[in-house]
Amino acid sequence: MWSALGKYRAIVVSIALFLFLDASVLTLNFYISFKIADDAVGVNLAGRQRMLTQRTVKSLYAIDNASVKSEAEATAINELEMSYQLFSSTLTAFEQGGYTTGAAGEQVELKAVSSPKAIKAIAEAKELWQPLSKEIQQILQADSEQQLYSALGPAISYANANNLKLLSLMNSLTVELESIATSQAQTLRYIQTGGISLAIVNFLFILFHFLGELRTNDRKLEAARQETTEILNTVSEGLFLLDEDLRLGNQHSGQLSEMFGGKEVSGISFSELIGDLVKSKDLETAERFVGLLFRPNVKDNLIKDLNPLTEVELNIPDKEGGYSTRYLSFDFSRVAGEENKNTVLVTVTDVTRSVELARELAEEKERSEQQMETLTSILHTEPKTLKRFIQDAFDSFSKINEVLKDQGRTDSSMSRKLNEIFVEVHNFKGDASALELDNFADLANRFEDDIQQTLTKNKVGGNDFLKLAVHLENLIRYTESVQEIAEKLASFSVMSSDNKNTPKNHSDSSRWQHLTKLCYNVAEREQKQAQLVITGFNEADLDEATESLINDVCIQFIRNALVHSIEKPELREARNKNACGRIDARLCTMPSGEIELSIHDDGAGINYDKIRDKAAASGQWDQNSLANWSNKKLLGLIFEPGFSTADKLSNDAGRGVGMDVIRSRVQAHNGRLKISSRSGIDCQFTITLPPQKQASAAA
Amino acid sequence: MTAPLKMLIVDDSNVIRRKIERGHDDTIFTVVGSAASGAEAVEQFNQLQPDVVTMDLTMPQMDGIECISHLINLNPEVKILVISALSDKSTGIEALERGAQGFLTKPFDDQKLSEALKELVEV
Repeated sequence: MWSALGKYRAIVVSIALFLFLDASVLTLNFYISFKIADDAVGVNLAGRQRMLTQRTVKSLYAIDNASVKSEAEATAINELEMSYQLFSSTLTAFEQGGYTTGAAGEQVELKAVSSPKAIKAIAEAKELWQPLSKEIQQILQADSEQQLYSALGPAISYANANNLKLLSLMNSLTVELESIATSQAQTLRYIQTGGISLAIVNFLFILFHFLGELRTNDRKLEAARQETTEILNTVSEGLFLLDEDLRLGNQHSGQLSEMFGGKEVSGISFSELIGDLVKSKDLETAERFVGLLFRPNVKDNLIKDLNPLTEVELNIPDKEGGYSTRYLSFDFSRVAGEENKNTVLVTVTDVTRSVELARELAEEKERSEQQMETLTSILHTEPKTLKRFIQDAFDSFSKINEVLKDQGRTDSSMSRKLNEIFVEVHNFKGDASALELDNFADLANRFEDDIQQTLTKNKVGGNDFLKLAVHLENLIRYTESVQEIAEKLASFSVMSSDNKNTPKNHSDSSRWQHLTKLCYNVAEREQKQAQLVITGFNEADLDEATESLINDVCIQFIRNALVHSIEKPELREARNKNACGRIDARLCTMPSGEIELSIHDDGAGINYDKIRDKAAASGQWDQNSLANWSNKKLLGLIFEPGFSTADKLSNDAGRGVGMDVIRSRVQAHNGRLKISSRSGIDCQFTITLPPQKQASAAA
Repeated sequence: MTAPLKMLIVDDSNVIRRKIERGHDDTIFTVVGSAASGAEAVEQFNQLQPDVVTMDLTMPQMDGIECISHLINLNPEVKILVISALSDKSTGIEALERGAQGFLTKPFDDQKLSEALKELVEV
C-alpha cells in the first residue's frame, strides 16, 4: 500500500498533516470556547456575590427600619432569605463545585475554582460569611418579634463590621475569574494563530512541492520529447504509427516525408500515403494485411511472408526534369498499447540499392549462364563444323552489312533489301539451331523479329535500319567471342593430339553426327518421333564447298521432313505406320562422277491443299486461279521467297525462307533438284551435283 | 511437464505430410492424424479434436480456405498454421482472416517448421 502510493507519497503525507492540524485546532477551539463560556458564568456569578453582600446588609437594615409585622418587614425578610441562600449556595459551588441558581432562576453548574488567588478569596470569604450566616439563620428562624430583634442587632453590627471586607473578597474573586477568562481567550487566540500559521506553512509546502514536481516532470517530458524528435529526425528509415482506422499518427520520422517527395503525411490515411504508388488491388491486399495485425490471435511474426509491400516502386521528379526511381520496403510490426488498443509501427526502408544489386546479380548470372552455354555448345560441336559455321556466319554478316550500307531510296527497294537481310538471318538461324548453338539462334531470332516488324511498317526510316545494325553488331561481336574461344580450344587440342598422333579420320566419323542430333532435337520440339539413317556420307570424298552445300541441304530437308511431312505418333499409328518415323539420307557418287544426295521420309508427303490454302491466305494469288493450278505448279510455290505452310513460327519452320536459298545455291553449283511425293506415304528430295572438278571449274 | 498438443496435418501431398511429421518438435506436439483433403480434415477433426492443425490451401474436395472456416466453427480455440506456396498473397491473407493464426511458406526446412509451430502455440 505504502509503495503503491509511489510518487504521490509526499503529497498524501502533506494532506494528512494538514487535516490533522485542522482537526487539532478545531478541537482545541471547541474545548477552550466551552471553557470560556464556563468562565463567563463564573465571572457573572462572582459579580452577583458582590451584589448579594450589599443586598444582605440592605435587607438587614430594611427589617430593622420596618414597622413590626408590617408588609415591608415580611418583604425584607424574604429578600434576606433569598440573598442569603443564593450567596451560600454559590459560595459552596465556587469552593467545591456543584449546582447553584443562575440569574434567570435556572440551575447552573459551577466548577470548583482552581487558581490559588480565587481559592484564598473563597476561603477568607467563607470564614467571614459563616458567623453572619448563623445570625441570619436565627433571624429567619425567629418565631417572635423579640427573637427577631434580638438576632437582628448582632447581625447588623457584624455585617457593618465585615461587609466591606466581604465585598472586597468577592470583588477579588470576580477580578481573578475575569483575568483567568482573559488569559483563556488569549490562549485560544495563540492556538488559532499558531494552527492557522502551521496550516499555511503546510499549504505552502504542498504548493511548492507540487510546483517543483510539476516542473521536474515537465522538464523530463520535454527532454523525452526532444530525444524522440532527435531520433525521428536522425533515423534513415521512414517511421510512423498506424491506428486501427489505418490512419497515420502525428509523429513520424523526418525521413518519411522526404521519401515521399516532401508530402505532408501527418494524420493522413494509409491509402492516401501509398495509393498513388501501387495498383488498387495491391492497395486492398496491403490494407487487409495490416488489418491482420489488429487481430489479437494472429501471430505477427508468422505472417511476414504475406507482406505485399516489400518492393514498392516510387518515381520522384528530380531537378533535371526527369524521374528517379526508388524502391521502398514496408515492414509492419504490432505495438501493444493500453486496454488492448494496438497500433502498428511501420518502418519504411529505401531498398533501391539492394533491388539494383539483385538485378545486377541476376543479369550477371544470366550472362555467365550464357557464357557457360556458349562454352558447352562449342565443346559439343565438332571443331571443323564449328569453324565452317563461323566462316559462313561472317560471310552472311558481311552480306547483310553490304545491304544495310546501301539503303534503297524507294519503298519497294527498301522492302526488297529487308527481305534479303531476312533470308540471310533466317538461314543463319537455321544453321545455328541445327548445331544446337542456342545463343546464336536466340540472337538471330530477335534480329528476325525486328526485321519482320520493320517490314510491316508503311514507312521505313533510317532509325529502323539503325536498330537492325545494332542486331548485326551484337551477332558479330558474339561470333567473334565464340571464334576466339574456339581457336583457343583448337590450339589446345592440336597440342594434345600432336602427342597422341590421332588419325585424321577420327573427326570425319563424327563430322555428320550433328545431323542425327538435329533430327532428334527438331523431332522433340515438334513432339514427333523420328530416326535418321545416314548412308554413304563418310565414304564420299568432298571438297569444302560441296561439303558445305551438302550440309546445308541436309539440314534444310531434314527439318522440312520433320516439320511438314512426318506425322505425330498417334496419327502415324492410325495410318498403320510405325509411331517412329524414318528419314533416310543417302549420298553416293555416280559412275559418271556426279554426286547424288537424296533425303527420303515416310511421312504424309506434300500436302497440296495446304499449299493452296496458304497461297490464297497470303493474298498474292487469286483464289479462283489457284483452284486450277496443277500440283507441279503448286509445288513451285515452296521455292518462293517468304512462303511457308507451317502454322506457327519456330526455330525450325515458319519464316518461309530456306527452300528458295537451297534452290539458288544448288543452281549456283550447276546442280539439279527433284521432288517426288506420294500423298500419305512418303516424300523424297533429290539433288544431283556435277562431278566436283567441273563444279570447281564452274565456280 | 504438460501432455503434448494434438496435431492434425492437412496436405494433399504425402511428401509434405511426411516432412511435417518428421520435422515437428515431438516434445511439444504429437501427430494424431493426417488428411489429404479439406473434407477428410473436417471428418478427422471431429473425431480427434486436435489442438493444432497445419493446413495446405490448394487441395481437392474442399480447399484450405473453406476448411479453415469449418474448423474454426467447430472449435474457435484451435490453432491453425497455414503451410502453402506463396503464389497469391491475397489468398494467404484470406486464410488468416478466416481464423488461421500463422503462415509458413513452402518450401520450408525443419527448423523453420519447428520455429513456426512453437510461435503458433506460444501464449
